[in-house]
Amino acid sequence: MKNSISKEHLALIIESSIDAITITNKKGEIVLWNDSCCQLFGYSSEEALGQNIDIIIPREMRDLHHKGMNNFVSSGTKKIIGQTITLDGLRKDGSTTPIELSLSSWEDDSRQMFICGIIRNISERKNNESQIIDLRGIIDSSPACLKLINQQGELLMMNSVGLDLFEAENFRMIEKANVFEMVHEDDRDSFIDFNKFICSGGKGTLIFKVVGLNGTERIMETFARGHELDSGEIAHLAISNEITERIKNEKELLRKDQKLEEAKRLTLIGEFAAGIAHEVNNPLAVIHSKAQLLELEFNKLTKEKSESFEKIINSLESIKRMTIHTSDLIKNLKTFSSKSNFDNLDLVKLTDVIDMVMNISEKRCSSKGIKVAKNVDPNLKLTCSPSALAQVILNLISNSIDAIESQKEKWISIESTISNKTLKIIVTDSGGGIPKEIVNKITQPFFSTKDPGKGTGLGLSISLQSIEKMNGKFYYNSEAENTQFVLEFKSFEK
Amino acid sequence: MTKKNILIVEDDKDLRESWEMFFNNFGVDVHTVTNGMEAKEIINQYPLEIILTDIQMPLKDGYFVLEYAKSQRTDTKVWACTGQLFTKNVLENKYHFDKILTKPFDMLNVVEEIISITSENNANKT
Repeated sequence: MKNSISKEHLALIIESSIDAITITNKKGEIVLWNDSCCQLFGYSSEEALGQNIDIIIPREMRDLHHKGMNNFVSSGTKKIIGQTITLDGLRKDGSTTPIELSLSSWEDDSRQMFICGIIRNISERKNNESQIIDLRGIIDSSPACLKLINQQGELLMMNSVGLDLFEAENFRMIEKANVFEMVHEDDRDSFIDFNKFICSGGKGTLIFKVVGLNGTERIMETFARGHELDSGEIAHLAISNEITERIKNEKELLRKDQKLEEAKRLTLIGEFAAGIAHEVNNPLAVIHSKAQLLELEFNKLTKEKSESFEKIINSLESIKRMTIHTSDLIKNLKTFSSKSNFDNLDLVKLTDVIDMVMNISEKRCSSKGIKVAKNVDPNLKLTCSPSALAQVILNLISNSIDAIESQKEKWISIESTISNKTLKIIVTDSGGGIPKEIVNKITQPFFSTKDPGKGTGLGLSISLQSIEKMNGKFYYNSEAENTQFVLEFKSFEK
Repeated sequence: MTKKNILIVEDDKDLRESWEMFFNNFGVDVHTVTNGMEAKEIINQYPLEIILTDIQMPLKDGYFVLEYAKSQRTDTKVWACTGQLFTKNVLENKYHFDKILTKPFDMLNVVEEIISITSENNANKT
């Protein structure tokens, strides 16, 4: 068997090899140069044979080559023998070409050493590789996040933009991480459905929120389609852009729109209220006066106060009350929607405003057994619309009276404090606070917890608007033990 | 029943009736008319102490009543009774009504007040 391959056969094989094959002696002189060598380097075998192998080694590599060769020949250390190395080869025309070289050596019967080099032209492969690198570069420098996710939601690939968005320093940090877990829980189910759809060959877009490794939330808009992997499995290939800022701007615009819409609506309410006021108030005046006349006449008719007489008087009372209430509602609507009166604010004594309020509400409080404590600095002056401020405080007191009149402990306190250059007017009553569920609604127009017909649901929303128009703040203090509202002003003096 | 120099200018028949009935309840008779034109004639005929006038009325309105009354007798008090939503300041500054009543109001109180401020003068006459 050993002799079944003859030298001629071997020579034929060498000649027909696609790889270039050359053999040199230990001096580096070429003793074999096959056809592929001729094609690769441009030297015919006549030209190459007898020449030193240096002819195919670029000049700058030759010293290194000689050193290695000497080292190899003298010591027999096979540093590169049996390995495949990549280097540049020099052509006859002076150009270089990337080659892959594997070396082997042997000694013949006369202990003569030969070195065989099998050389493969890898210029094409190199070219492909450089294209792949370019593609990588493009993917990485893409302004969008590019990612590849499998059906299980595992991350297979992500470019550097994507890594930045997910706050990962490198791909290893999130390789094979479950993307589902990086999607905000609000959007997780829809993302899982979307992934399933894409991985079954669909394509589409989705907007979802992601949470980075450091916890930053971002809103992403993604365009995705299925991408078949080598395994035949379809993965989810996506181009995603961060749209957090855009969504924020859109929301801001919408809010502005709504505010404008609200302003328009208020103007309309104001016009409506002004328009019907005269038409409604006249008949209300008639009803009120007639009810009062009936009371007068009934009182003349009967000297003894029978039960049915009481009922009649009570009914007339409520007719009168309702006419005033209806008229107040229209007045409130007008006030609520009016823009005026806040252009020229006055510097007034806070006690004057509080006294105005007390003057109106004192009787109502005392008749219901409510104690009113006033602790206001008499030297304080603030910039406000006194009537509007009085209305706000009066409204708070009216609310307090309604809320606590049937309680055992009944008190209302009005006090002023100054801290951090802020004047606070604090109105507290003995109530136990506003239920959490409705705290956010109390300043909404038409929100009321009072019995139908008792409140218009506009008091606190008007108050909020009024105080804001006076450059102040108005809020419910949920931290307080009792029911407490706070008015804050920056413009005041002592 | 004593006829006092009080004039009610009101285009609403029901309200006019109410005014009359309240005053009558105190034994007082008053002049009533339905608009500014009619008011002018009463102003010309009687030395009125007080006029209660609606603002929005046909022919001549409450502002006319105010101006005409004051031009004839500066000491005639003119009170406005209005259902319109003006701020009190606007009405007082622009037209110098002596008082503004916004409808609906406590008519019994108003009538009592008017009688109390006119009774002294009248006591001299009767």
